[in-house]
Amino acid sequence: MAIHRRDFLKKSVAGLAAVVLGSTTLPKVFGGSQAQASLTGSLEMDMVDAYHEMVDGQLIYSWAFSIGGQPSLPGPVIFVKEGDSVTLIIRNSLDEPHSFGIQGNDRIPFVVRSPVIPPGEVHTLTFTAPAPGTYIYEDLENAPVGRVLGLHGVLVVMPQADFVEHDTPYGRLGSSHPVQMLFDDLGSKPWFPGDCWRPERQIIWVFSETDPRYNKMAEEGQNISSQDMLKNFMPCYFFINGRSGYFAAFDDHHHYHESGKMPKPIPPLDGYIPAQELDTCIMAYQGEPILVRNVHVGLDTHSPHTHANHSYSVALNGIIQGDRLDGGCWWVDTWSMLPGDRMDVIYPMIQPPDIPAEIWRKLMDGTSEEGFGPGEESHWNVAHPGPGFPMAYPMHSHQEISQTAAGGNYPQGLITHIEFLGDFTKRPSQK
Amino acid sequence: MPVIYRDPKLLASLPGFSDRDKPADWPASRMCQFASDPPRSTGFLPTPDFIPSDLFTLEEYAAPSEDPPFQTIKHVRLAPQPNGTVTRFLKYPDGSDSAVPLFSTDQQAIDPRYGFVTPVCRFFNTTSKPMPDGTTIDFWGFYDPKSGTGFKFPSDTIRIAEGQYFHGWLGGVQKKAHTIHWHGMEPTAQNDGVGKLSMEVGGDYVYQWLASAAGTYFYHCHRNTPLHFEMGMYGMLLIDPLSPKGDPLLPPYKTGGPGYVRYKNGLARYDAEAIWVTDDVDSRWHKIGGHGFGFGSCGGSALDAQGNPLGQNFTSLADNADPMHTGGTGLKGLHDFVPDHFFITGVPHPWTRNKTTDRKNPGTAVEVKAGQTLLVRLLCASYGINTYLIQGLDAEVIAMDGRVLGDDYYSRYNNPFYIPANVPWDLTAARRFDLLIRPTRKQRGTHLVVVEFKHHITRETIGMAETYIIVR
Repeated sequence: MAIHRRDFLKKSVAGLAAVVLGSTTLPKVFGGSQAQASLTGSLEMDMVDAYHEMVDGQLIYSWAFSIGGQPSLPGPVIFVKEGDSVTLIIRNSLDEPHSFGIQGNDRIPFVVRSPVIPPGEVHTLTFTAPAPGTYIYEDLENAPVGRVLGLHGVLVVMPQADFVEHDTPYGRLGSSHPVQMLFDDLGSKPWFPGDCWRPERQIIWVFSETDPRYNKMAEEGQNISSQDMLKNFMPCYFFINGRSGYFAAFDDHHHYHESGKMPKPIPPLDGYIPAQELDTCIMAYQGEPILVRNVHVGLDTHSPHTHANHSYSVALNGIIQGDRLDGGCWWVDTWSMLPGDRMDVIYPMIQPPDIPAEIWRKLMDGTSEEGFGPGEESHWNVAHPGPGFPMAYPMHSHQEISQTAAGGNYPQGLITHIEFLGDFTKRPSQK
Repeated sequence: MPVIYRDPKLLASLPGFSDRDKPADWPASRMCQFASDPPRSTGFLPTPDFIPSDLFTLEEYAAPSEDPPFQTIKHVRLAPQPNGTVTRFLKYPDGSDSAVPLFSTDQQAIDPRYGFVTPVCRFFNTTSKPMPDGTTIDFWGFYDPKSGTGFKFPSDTIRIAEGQYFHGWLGGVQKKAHTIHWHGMEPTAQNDGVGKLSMEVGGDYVYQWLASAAGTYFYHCHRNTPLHFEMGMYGMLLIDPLSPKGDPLLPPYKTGGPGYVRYKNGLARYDAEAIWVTDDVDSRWHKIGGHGFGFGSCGGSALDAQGNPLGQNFTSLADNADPMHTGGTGLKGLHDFVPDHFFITGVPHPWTRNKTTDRKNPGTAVEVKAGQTLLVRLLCASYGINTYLIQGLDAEVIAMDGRVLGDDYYSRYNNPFYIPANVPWDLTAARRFDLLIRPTRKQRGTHLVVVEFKHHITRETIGMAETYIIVR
């Protein structure tokens, strides 16, 4: 089949782009360089093909959403406010039929769903942004083939009301609601010293995998049976935000921190945050709680595991935790992600509790002796020989097969970093 | 700064230990003490107050001491002895050596400045275990040479008291091949044990951290984890809370019970304890010859600042399927996992059906009296989904991933909850549940516990294991 565009999603550039839609301005999102004015009117998204560079340099044919001529995998994160009218113009520039839809929750199965869009055609969708939360947009035709091959992205809906300190990402929930209690306590109770949560501190992790055999079939224009894929999928590359291993941990914001130089951004649309700017890796101070939106668009079973802190579950598949009798906001170091799951967690950035008090005091003073000895270097601590801050820990899927690439090459899989830049007294004042 | 001591009678019985080295304020009968309470205003975790209880007071436990403060161990000095053994001395940051050996291969001794080193771990290479189908499977792991229990799969359970400073010595490691990551413990990066990120162990390393939260955790190698974890390099890490004032039971409690566990903002006493680790094994992975699966295999290395490989290059799919690496098993690589054996705590199904219960050699089946309390510590060590079901007995989930549900601080946003009898629940890799089961007289009898193992992609059931809760 003819390939209309051979764009190149380099492993160091592929990552999260974002678009802000609607009539109001959203604050700069974690890693973004400035508050983004939004696109008014509609957003045109094109379904195209591109080569996705794997961590080991292999180029794998993929499908992707593209805005303004720039494909991204995952598709760009779309930020809107609850209740806004959203218009998306979806063009199918591929050679087979696709469609577009956003799933909701068990009360409302679909936020929006297009009919089949034949090759070369365009379809316009208008819908009202649903309740605040995290949603997946995807190709629903011959599901899950389109989504697995790259036609997926995240819709983030923020509350309509302007943010007030201690608000949750879902608006105010009532003071006895467990999630509201957590957000009230962050930054105000003695066990959560530091700041409350703020909307600019959001991280999005899109988990996915690639089994190159199916990408090859798509490249050659063969029909792919969804039943065959569901039964025989055997991925050998695993991603967070389209990147693996080193490149998911050392993203461009990280390089900026290290070198002071931002990579040159793609000339933007107004309201379009280019791919380099949204973080995958968490870099924050003690006392800066982070909202992490986990989204799983692949087919594998994952067990995301955070080191250094346990994380609080606050929402799962559109249900805010505590709304049911299953115990409230779990405080866990590992949680389960099945295909299609969207789980929001709070990584509280508290002092890792198993550091003895005297050692934490020395870390605060800068007199820590926690360093690395000769012969004990790894890549990370070559850059940061220590001792003291910053301290880096991993987040990775504990379903360990996901930590491989091409059948080996640990740890170039579904892993990124969490870096503690300093204690809560050294936080820069709020942005 | 109080230092944690073990049973003084035990210490006194060890060769090389003398009264002269015992601090004057040696507690007569208490087993462990807390670190001092850090001031809240500077943002520390409020550790001892963390256990509100009107059952005991902390003054019983916190005794003044003139010992020097906790220090980061920088090095372990090896001193070969004329008799061929090697004695290890801690080397402190101020340059001094501990006067008393850390331990040596032929005698135990403790540096009173430092407290007991717990545990000592060595890596063992291979132990072969027979399987019900007549084959044998090789496993790797850690063991504590002081425990005298030899090589086991899973590795020895490490059990300590909440509030204790933990020192875990890993030795006998060649070529930076292994680390120990203490899963669910949250120390400095240098003690987190993540190969390629913090560091890898070449020779000797002493991990140090504070056991701040009682619960169910585990430890495992974090170097080429997909392979090493599958090969069995993991064991349970249990942290026991202090018991109520005056209670003769002192942590760490005996495996199998009785003991205390954190329950909401206090304690619950349990009479019997089951430790169930559900795991699946692909026997092909255990027949691998070379380890040349690219990075992360023994001898591999990381990427440099430009993202270029340091040392060994990436291996391709073709390389990783090479029979030279895969022992002629036909394994396509470390992404090809099709388990053929299923375990509960190292016992393969169907041998898990053995109903013999023996507190000294716990297998899988557990016995509890009606009216008493059974604690089940559950770890999913499988790479798939594990679905659990207990017939005929309700269970209360009181902790997840080592953190109690429903306390007054970090867990005031959740509550313990019930899993009714005969209702299944799922866990995925590395998740832990602690369950309390309190059977009534009407529930006397043998209750089946079923674990279904589901494939990580298709989520079809590919195996199972069964055991029993016997209520007398």
